[in-house]
Amino acid sequence: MTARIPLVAQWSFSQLLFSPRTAGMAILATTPVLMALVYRAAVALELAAQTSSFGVFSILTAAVSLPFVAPMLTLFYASGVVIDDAEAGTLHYFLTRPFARRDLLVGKMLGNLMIVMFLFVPPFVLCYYLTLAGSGWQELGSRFPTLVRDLMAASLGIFAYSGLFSLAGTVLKRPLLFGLFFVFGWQAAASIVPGAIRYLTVTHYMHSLMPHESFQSSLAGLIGQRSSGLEAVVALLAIGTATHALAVWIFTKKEL
Amino acid sequence: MKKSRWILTLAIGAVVAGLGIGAIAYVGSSGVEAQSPAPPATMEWMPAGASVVGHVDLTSLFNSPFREAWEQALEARGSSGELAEFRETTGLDPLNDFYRLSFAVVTSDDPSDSDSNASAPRGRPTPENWGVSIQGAFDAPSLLTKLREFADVETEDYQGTTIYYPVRRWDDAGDEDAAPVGIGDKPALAFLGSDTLVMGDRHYIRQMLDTGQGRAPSAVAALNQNWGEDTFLNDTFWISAAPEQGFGGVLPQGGQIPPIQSLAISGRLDADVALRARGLAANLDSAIKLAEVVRGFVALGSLQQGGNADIRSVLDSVQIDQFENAVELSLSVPYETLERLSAHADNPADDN
Amino acid sequence: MNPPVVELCAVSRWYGNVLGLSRVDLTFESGVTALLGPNGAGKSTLLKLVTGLLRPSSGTVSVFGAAPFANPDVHRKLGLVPEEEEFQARVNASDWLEYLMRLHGFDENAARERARKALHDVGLESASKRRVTSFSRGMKQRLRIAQAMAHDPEILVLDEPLTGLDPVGRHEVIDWIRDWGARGKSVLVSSHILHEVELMTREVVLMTAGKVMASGNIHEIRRLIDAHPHHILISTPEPRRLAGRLLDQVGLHSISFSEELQQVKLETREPDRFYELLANYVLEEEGTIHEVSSPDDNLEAVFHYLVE
Repeated sequence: MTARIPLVAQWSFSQLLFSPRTAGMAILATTPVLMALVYRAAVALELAAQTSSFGVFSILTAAVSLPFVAPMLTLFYASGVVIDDAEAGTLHYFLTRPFARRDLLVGKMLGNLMIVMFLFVPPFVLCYYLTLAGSGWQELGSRFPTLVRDLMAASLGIFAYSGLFSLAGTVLKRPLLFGLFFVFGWQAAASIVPGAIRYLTVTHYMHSLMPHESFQSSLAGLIGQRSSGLEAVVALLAIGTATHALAVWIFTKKEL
Repeated sequence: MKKSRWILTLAIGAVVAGLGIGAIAYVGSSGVEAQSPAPPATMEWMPAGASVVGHVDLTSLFNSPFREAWEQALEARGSSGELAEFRETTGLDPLNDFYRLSFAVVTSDDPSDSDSNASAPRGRPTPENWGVSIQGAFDAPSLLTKLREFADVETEDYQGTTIYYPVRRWDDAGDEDAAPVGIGDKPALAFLGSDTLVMGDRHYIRQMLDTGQGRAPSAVAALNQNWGEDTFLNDTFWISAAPEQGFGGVLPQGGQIPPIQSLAISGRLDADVALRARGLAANLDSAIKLAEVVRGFVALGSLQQGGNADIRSVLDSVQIDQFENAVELSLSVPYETLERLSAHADNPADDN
Repeated sequence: MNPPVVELCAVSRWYGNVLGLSRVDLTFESGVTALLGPNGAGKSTLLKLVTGLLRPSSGTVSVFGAAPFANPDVHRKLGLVPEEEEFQARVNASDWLEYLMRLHGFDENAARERARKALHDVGLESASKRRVTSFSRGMKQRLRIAQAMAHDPEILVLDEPLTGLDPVGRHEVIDWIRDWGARGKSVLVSSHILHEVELMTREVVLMTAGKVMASGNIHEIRRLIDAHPHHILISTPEPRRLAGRLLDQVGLHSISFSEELQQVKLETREPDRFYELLANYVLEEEGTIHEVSSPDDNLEAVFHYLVE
C-alpha cells in the first residue's frame, strides 16, 4: 500500500542533496560548527577558558542551532514540498502514476525530513565534540545526556516545523514568506507575551524541552511560562502529526 | 540515488559513531564515578543531615603557591613565633602534618531572632551540633599527654572507641551551665586509627563514630544524591549548605531571589584557581530566574569594579550556566591576579 | 459491453469566473483522436480532466468507466505527455525514466529495462546518461514521449507533442502516434499544427472558447464547410474575362483578379455549382485555366471557418 513512500523519499532526498539550495543550507547548518571552531581557536590562543566549554555549547544550542538553524532548514525544504516539483515541471509526471497521492506527499515530506536531519544532526554532534574537546573524557560523558536531550528536542521541533511548513507549502502560493513570518514574527512575539498565546508556537514547546537557557526561554521563565516535558513532547508530536496529516489530506483533494 | 544513499549512510554512520562515543563516555564516566574517586577519608565520619558540610584538602592547599604567601604574611604579622610555639606545644606542624579536614554543622533557627525582623520567614541559624574530622600525622599518646597539661580529661568507651572529654578548661570549671553559647554539648575528641582525629560536641561525636562505622547514614551519600554526578567532593576545598535543613537565614530566600535548595562553593588549585558556586533551585523556572539574578549581580559588579583591571579580568572569566534545576557560576583566576587583589585589599590606596 | 475509453458527459470546468470548458459531451474510442483549437480553446483543460489532474466543475468524466481524478487504476493504463513547460529534473535521462517506471510499479530490473528500451525508441539512447537539464527542447520532448510510452499504456494523452521537435522528429513522432493507434490503443493528442495532425488521424475534435465546435471524421467536418464561403484560387492567362464571366453567378460572395499575377480569387457559398460553371466555361466557352486550387481542402481552412 505504501511501498512507494521509501522510493519517493529516497528520490526526494537525492534530488535535494545535490541541489544548489542544499549548498546554501549547508552553510547555514555549519554555522554553529564554525562558531565552535572559533571558540576552539580562542582556547588555543588562551583568549577563552576551557572551563566555559559547556557554556559555549549551551549558547550555540539555545541561541543558534535550535531556535534558528533548525526552523530555517526545515522551512527552506518543507515549504517546497509541492512547489519544487511544480516549478521544475515534474509534478504532473508523478501525479499520473498509479499510486496514491498520499504516498507521494508522505514520501516527499520524509525526504525533506531526511535532508534536514542530514544537515542538522552531524554538525550539531560535531559542535558538541568541538566545544567540549579538551574538557576530558568525563566531561564528555557527563554532558552526553544533554546532547541526547537537545537532539530529541530538535528532532521533535523539526517534525513540528516540517508539518507546519509542509501544510503551508501545500496550501499557499508563497509558503516561504509565511514561514519567515511565523518564525521571526509570530513566534518571536508570542513567546514573550504572557498568556495562552505562547501555546500557538513551536518554540515554546522546544524551549520547554531544552535544558539550556536562552533569551526567549529565560524571558519565558521569568514570567513563569514553561510547559512540562511531557506536555511539550505531546504538543510537538501533535502539531507535527496533525499538520502533516492535514497537508496530505489537502494534497489528495487538490487540483494541481 | 546510489550516491546519495552512500552519503546518507556515511552521515548516519558518523552520527552513530559520535553518539556512540558519547554514550561510551557517559557509561564510562558513570562507572568511574561509581568506583571512584573515593570521597576524602575524613568525610567518612560526617553524618547525614548536617546543614553545612565542608572539606579542605590541606596538603594541596599548603603545597600551592599560596603557601609562600601565607608564610610571608605570618612573618609580616609577627605570627611566626606563635606558630613555632604551637609546634612546640602540640608537636604538630600545621603546614605539614595536617592532610585534610572535613567539618559539619547542624543548625537550628533561633526563634528569638525572628522577632526582630517580622518579614523574615526564619530566624538566625544557630549552630547546635558540630564536628570536625582531621587526617594527618598524629602522635595520639603525645597529644593526649599535652592535653592533660591543660585540662582534666574524662573518657568514655563508645562502641569500642575511646572518646576523650577535656573538662576543666573548656567547661568553665565549676559551672555546668556555662557551656559555650551555640556549641551546645561539651566538646570531645577521639583518635581513629593512627592518622585521624575527630572532634565535636558530645552528642555529635557519637553520631560521627556511628557514621564512620556504618551505623548511620553518611553526608557523602546525601551530597551525591543532592548534586548528582557533578561531584566536587575531591576538589581542593568546598562547602555545601542545605537551607531546608535549618540554614534558611544565611542563604537568600524569598523576595526577588528564587529559593535555593542547596548551595555549594568549591575550588580547585590547578594551574589557576578555579572556583565554582552552584545553586540548586526548586525547579526549572526558579533556576532560570536564579541565573538571571546572578547574571544581574555579575553585571552590576562589572559596572562597579572601578576600572581595576584585575577585578575586571576576574569578572570577565565568570561563566554562568544553568542546566535543569542547577545554576553554576564558575571563574578561573591566576594566582598572580589573586596576589595583586589581595595586596589591593590590604592597601586600597595603591589602586590608582 | 465495455464502456468507452473516454467519456465526457456535459462537462464544464470553471477557473474562478473564467469558463475553461463548457458543457462538453464527447466519447473517445481506440485509435487516434486529435483536439484542435487555438490557445485558450480548452484543449489542455480537457486533457487534464481526462488524465485526472483536474475535476470537472459539473458533468462527469470517465476513463475506462472510472473517474480519473487521483485514481491509480486509471493511471495504470495511462501515459501522459504534458504540455511543454519547464522541465528541470536534476538527473540523467536513464535515472529519470527508471524512477518513473518504479513509481509505476515495476521492479528495479524491469524499470531499468523499460527505461532503456524507451530511450532507444525515441533516439535518446546515446544521451541516456546526460543530465536532463542539459537537453535541448527537442530532446526533452522526446524524453517526455519516452516516459509516456515506456509502460505501454492503453491510452496515450499527448498535449502538443510536436512542440520543439525538428522536422525529422515531428515525422517520427507522427509515425509513433499512428502506429500506436494502429495497434488498437487510444491516443488523444492536442495540437495547433494542423497539417501535421492531418497526417496523424482523420478523427478530430475542433474546439474554441471552451466549446466543441465539431467532432468526427475529417470528411464529416468537411461538410460543415459548405455553410461558409469557400475560397478558390484560379490561375488563368485571362483573369479579367473569367472574373467577368463569374461576376453575376449565384452564391458568389467576393471576387478579385490580378492581371499581373494572372490569378482570380473568389469566395462562394455554392462551391459545387461553381465547379460546374467552371467546367462549362472551359468546355463551352473555350476558356483557359491553368490551375484551380482551394485552401478549403486543407484542414486549416476548416479550423478557420469554424472559429471565425
